[in-house]
This record gives sequence, C-alpha cells and structure tokens, in this order.
Amino acid sequence: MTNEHGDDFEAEARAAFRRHLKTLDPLIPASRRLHPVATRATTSRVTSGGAFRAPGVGLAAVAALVIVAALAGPALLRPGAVASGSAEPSSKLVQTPQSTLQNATTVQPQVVASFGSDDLEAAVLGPDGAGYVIDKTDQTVYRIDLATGARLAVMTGTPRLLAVGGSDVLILDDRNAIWRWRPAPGGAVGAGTLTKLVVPGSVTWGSNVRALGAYITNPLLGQYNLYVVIPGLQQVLRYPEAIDGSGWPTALRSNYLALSRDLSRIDDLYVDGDVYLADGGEVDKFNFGQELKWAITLPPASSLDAQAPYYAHLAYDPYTDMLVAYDRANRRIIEARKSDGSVAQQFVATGTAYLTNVRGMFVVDSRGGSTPKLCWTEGGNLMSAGLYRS
Amino acid sequence: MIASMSAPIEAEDQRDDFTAVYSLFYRDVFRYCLVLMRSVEDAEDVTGETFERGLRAWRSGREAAGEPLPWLLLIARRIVIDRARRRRLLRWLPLSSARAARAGRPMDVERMEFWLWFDDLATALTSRQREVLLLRYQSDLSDREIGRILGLSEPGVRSLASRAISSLRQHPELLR
Repeated sequence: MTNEHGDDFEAEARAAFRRHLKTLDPLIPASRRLHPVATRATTSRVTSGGAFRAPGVGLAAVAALVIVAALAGPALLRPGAVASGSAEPSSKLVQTPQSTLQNATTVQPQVVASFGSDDLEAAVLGPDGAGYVIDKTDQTVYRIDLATGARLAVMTGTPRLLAVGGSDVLILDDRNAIWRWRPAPGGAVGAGTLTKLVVPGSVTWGSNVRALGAYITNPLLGQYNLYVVIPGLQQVLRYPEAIDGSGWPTALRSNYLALSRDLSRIDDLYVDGDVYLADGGEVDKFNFGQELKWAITLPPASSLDAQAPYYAHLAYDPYTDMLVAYDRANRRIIEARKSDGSVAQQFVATGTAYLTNVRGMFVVDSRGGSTPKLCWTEGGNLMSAGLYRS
Repeated sequence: MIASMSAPIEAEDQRDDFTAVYSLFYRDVFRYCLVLMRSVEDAEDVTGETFERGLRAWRSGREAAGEPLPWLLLIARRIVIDRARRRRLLRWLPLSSARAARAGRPMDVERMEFWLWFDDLATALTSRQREVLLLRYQSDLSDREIGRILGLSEPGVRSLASRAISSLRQHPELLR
C-alpha cells in the first residue's frame, strides 16, 4: 500500500509534486480510442513485405490505409487524434512474463470508472456493494457504483488506507486518524455518515502504517477487530472494538504477532480470523499470532515458466472461498486455497497492458449469477473483469 | 486445471494491446513532455512521435523488456533532446523559420502556477535533480527505471534524489 521511497518529508515532497503536476491536467488532451494504432501496425506489416492480410479488408483498402497513414504521419498518434480504418488484431502480444504463463485464464478488463490522470490507490468493496477507492491526486475517497460507474466523494483530506469492517468503510488518514463511513441502510444511494473515530495512542503508530484490516467478531452487533501493521513497532496491533462502537480502547489493544518481525516491506493484509501478510512479495499466514508453514504454491509448470512471483495485494473470493493475490512480477491474479496455499486458478490479461500496476483490489460475488468479478485500481481507472472458471 | 479463454475474446484482447498501453500511459508521457518542453503543441508532437516509434518497435519485436512506461519515457526524452539540438542548430541559420522562433518562446502555460513553482524549485535543485524527482513522483518509477531513462546508474539516481530531498529540506517553503 506504500511504495519504496518513503519517509515523512519525502511523502510531503511527493504530495507537493503531484499537487502541482495536477494543475497541468487541463492541458492534457482527452483520451480517445486509438484505432490508428492498428492502422499503423497494418502499414508497417504491409510495407515491410509481410504476407499480412487484414481480416475483412481487401488489398485496395489496405493500400488506402497505407496512403492515409503515410500522409497523416505521427499526427495520427497524437493524444486525442482519431482516424478511421479497420483494426488489425495484432499478432504480437505484450512481451511480458505473463505471455509465458502456463494454463492461465485470460480475462477481459473493462473500465468501471475513469478518473483521468489521477492516481487511484486502495480499493475495497463496501458493505453497500459499491467500490471505494482512494484518489491520491485529489486526496479523496470516492464511492463508485459498480454497475453505473457513478461516483460520490465520501471524504476529502489525506486518506492513505482503506479497510472494511462490518457495515463500515474505514479510512486511515496521514495523521493516523481513522474515519468511519457508514452507508445509510435502505437510504438513498450514496447516503451515509462520516465519523472520526477515537483510537487512543494512534500517534505512536508513526507515519508509515503499512496496512489496515478488520475482522468481524460479532455479526449481530456489527463489531469487528481492527488490525494495524506498524513497522516502527514491528507488530500488527489488534484493537477489539468498544462495546458501544465508539472506537477501539487502548486497554483492549494487543500485539497480534507472537514474535515481533520486520514489517517494513508489508504491502497488504487480509484477515479472516487468520492473518495473511503480503510481505516483500511473499504471503505469510498467521494463526493466533504464530506463523504457519504455509506458502502459495504454484503448479510445477507455472513455477518453471514464470518469473519469481511478487504478491503485492490480497483479497478474498467469496465465490470459491479462496485467497486472491496479485502477482506483480508476472502480471497475474492467482487464487490459492486457504488450507494449503495451492494455486487453483490463475488469471492474466494477455494482450493488454492491464494488471501491470494494481494498487488495490477486491472480488465481487455474483448475486444470482455465476461469475464473480475482480475489481482493481490501476492508473486512474477502476477496472473490472469476470473471473471465468474452467 | 485451467482452460484457455475462447478465441473471440483473445482476438479482441490482441487488437487492443497497444491501444491499452496508450490509454494507460499517454497522460504520463504527455505530462513528462510538457514539463520538459513547456509547450502544449510540442508535447503533443513528441507524445505522438513517441507512441509512433513505440508502435514501430513493438511491431518489430524491439519493445520494452520490462514495464512499458519507462521505455516510453526514454523514447520521449530522446525525441525531446533531438528536437532541442535541432532547435539550437536552427538558431544559427540566417533565416530561421517562424515555427522555430515560436518554439523557442515560452507559451502561455509559462504563466501557469506550475511553472512558477517549478522555476522556484530551480533555486534549490539542479535540473537533473528536478527531473529525477519528477520521474519518481509523477509515475512512481523505481530508481532503476529512472536510471534507464536518464542514462544513470541506480546508485547515481539514488544519490541525486537524496541530495534533492536534502536540499528541499532546507527550503520547505518550496513544497507549499
């Protein structure tokens, strides 16, 4: 959830750069679909004497495209430029490790909501079935309707991390304050209340809290424990919620990990009673604070073909009851059995540049349907793709 | 264990491969060009040329070995440098073109708050340091990727960034 360059002052410098760079955004031309890219591809293949024949396009039409492309030149590829012409299904895929993965299912990413050049980070599935994301550029948490892409600003400030506990969306800000967004049950879409919660001692967490998680302990009362990964203390702090729901008293706080450890490379946390930590590319599992002999195990063919995996984000697939992990090194999503860590499915976005830099993700269970959907933040987009099963 | 997806979906994916690269990264490339060139028109030209060269390389199998963004920024930077050299040469010609003269002049964007701030940064940072921070903060590039773009070693980038941050610590007012 944080990146490799980080201390307080540098975070401030980063924020200042991004704030000022944001003022250039009005000058950036709007994105359009780039048919000319395929047109240019066609051109280069034809002029180089290849035997290519665009599907459904006659030789005369191809020749016309060559002329048009030659006349228009690079201007066709300007941001915002639009040209007509048949698109060729490219024969060459993105040359990334994923193209060598064995037995991977290809997903088809679609944009749910686009925030232009903004940087979206954490993403969680809210209790109201909407997605919640942090827009780092304008320092706002947005609620996004997954069906329509409609967005609503929920909180503006300096949000850093998101988690979901019971009927709440929890937002940790740069000052280690925790904000609770509780969608109004049965209310208008997007209605809810935002409350700043008291977590005594949160000032001692330091400025580099790596991850935040929650695990429901009393579904009737909607109570949940809060888990905070704090590298400075080399601990995951667990805060049981006060009975009146007002916050997480210090008196109830405990160290979750039986043995303190270096947590400076934690990228994500998932809690289901057990705790899973994405730590420096690997996923570790803990039960009652004790680390288990558990690891995500790829099938032999994948292990041979892929680069060493780097698991950067975790989520849960309620449809299969499996742990979902994003492998940044191989640009893929894997689903692993919680029991033994064996990988049951892997998904790639072959032929696209997506799944390159996922910043947060969650799985939406299909209600009444058969295909759960993976949603993730990447660049300025909230993306989604159906996780089709074999 | 896992089945491949149906052919139509694959074909659709393939059609969109470079388009997806463009959609994801053209803003970053454009913004980088804009900061380097201070001209919207020039930034548009260079961004277009960058993706054109990128596409050509892509089709001929000389595409990025790693992430596409650092590769695209490297292409963009080379084009910007080429243009700057050409522009310097043009100034020696007795009859320089109107376009060349215009190109040498800062645009309206010069008056924008960003440029004022960016120029203020120059009081504390060298141009190299500014560029390192720009690449690091705009797109979260790693030191290795920045090094590839700027032609520096990874420790060199780290050292530049570290000095830049140290300098900024002496001028916290620049971060407002």
